[in-house]
Amino acid sequence: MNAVLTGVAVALVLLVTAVIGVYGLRISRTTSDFFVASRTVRPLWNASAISGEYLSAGTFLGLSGLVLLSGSDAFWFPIGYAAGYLLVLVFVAAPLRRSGAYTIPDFVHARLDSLTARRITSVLVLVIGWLYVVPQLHGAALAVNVVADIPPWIGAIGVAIVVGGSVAAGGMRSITFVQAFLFWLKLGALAVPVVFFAITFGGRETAIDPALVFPHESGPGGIDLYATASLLIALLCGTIGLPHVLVRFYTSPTGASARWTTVIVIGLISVFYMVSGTIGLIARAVAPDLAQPGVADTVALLLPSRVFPGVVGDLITALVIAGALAAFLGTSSGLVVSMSSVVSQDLFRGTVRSFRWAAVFCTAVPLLVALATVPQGLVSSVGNVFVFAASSLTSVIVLGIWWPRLTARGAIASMLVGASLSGAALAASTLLGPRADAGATLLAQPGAWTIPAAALTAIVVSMLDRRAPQNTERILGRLHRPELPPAGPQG
Amino acid sequence: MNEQNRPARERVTSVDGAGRAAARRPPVRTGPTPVGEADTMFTRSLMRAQARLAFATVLSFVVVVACAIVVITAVPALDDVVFAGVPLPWLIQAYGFYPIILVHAVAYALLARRAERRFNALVEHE
Repeated sequence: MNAVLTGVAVALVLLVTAVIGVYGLRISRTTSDFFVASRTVRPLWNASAISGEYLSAGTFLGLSGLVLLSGSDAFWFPIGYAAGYLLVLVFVAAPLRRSGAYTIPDFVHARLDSLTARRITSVLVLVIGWLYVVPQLHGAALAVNVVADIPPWIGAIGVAIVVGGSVAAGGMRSITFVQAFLFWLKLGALAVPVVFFAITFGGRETAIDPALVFPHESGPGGIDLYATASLLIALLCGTIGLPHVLVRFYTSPTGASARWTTVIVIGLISVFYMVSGTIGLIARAVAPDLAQPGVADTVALLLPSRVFPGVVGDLITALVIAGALAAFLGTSSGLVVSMSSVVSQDLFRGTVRSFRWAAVFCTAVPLLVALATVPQGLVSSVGNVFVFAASSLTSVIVLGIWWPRLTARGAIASMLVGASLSGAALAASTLLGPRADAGATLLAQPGAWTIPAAALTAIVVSMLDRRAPQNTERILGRLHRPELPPAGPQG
Repeated sequence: MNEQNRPARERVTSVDGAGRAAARRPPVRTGPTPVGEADTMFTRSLMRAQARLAFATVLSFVVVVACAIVVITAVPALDDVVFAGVPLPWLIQAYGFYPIILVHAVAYALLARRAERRFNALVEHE
């Protein structure tokens, strides 16, 4: 590992991020610039930004690590993440864009006309955001520790300072461009090594024994039906409930363009996941000795120098490190933007100044949690956040858009039931430790029963309540009717 | 940033600039706003059409994925088909699902656009 090259790579990423952030600061002048980039972001830019924000360190490092560690089960995670956007596309993309709200609590408030529902949504958004940032900071700590022998807490604090600072300085407009840049950096950082590997291994006939490297038990054949189905349901539905994903749709110019943006996102993240999965497959063949818990998550960083000794390996490693840094920065800053929007609008009066303070606050809390806790497996920590988001927010958002009879009480009951059931199941599963019986699987992968429970609660309570909000018809019309007049072919 | 050069606060209320939006839609007010029955009916029929389309997309996706999962888990003979050292079920799981997702996404986006164009044509005729 070449310390100079690593340092240069990290410095370059930080420099470019800062330059784009400052450039963004000069054009971001009004409150609406800060929150939704004035709704002028083009689909490809917006899609790159969404993808940049979505692809976290959990996937950048964790996917190849998990493929190496536990086999093809790992592929369900990216499949679920990508398919989650299919559900976003068909259920929420265009209507949410047309709702004209800044944040999810704004949407819930407008749709249900209830301040209590709004407050509960805000709290859930904050909890989800914090839960999601913590594994990012853990990942940053892990990466700097591996590549540079720096104490882990420096990595976590460094990323937190850059994220909190750049969000507070530039708001969302500059973040949109930063995110778009970070996406292409992440993709390149994994694609370049894969191309080099392909050239190296493509020429010679493979010396590996497929039955040994890719055994049937670790492959698709060894599937656990309940665990897989429950995980997939949670990942699919969870994407709708993630606060930093939805806030991006408010920056598309129309509902139709929000839809095409989502289609492009699915294409972009699919390419990324295929590339990342390839690294995992190569790792199984080349570096089976790294298949240990804790070490496996670093395989994407260690693999290049194993395959290419010397300068080439060092250069590629530096690129991968730059990509990993991009992954930490991208997801964390997106989350901090959406949490700060919520905090500044709910606690203060939605001014630029309060947004800045909120950004600092929303970075500091997860940093303290990250410093106080021990990192778990990156991919599964992120998966748990999806379960929680899917159980608490997804039902209310989807029913709010599509079901006219949803009432404020139904929504409140659903959020409380979903959040407490999934939170309790995940906490119990963590406290009990890894076990193999059926009950433990139900607790470890609760999505299959907590999400239906939340949806059912919303429906039953709304039916009993019958006090539908007064403006339902007007708001539903606004959500679903296309913008008029159609300004030429959209998308 | 000091008090002098702080930009004026601007409130965004609608889609493409307040002026144009206000010209074609009643201004957003608080409190109940009457919505015409015909309007509600049109909106509901569009909602039903879009909801059917959404559920059909999801159903088709689930069925195709379930079939793919059955193929890669329940056909042991595929394990013997090896490309570049990797058994076929592994390759399908690593690369095969994304095209399925993308095809469904594109199909949905096209059909949803068509539904909205029909709706626009319908409303303009009124």
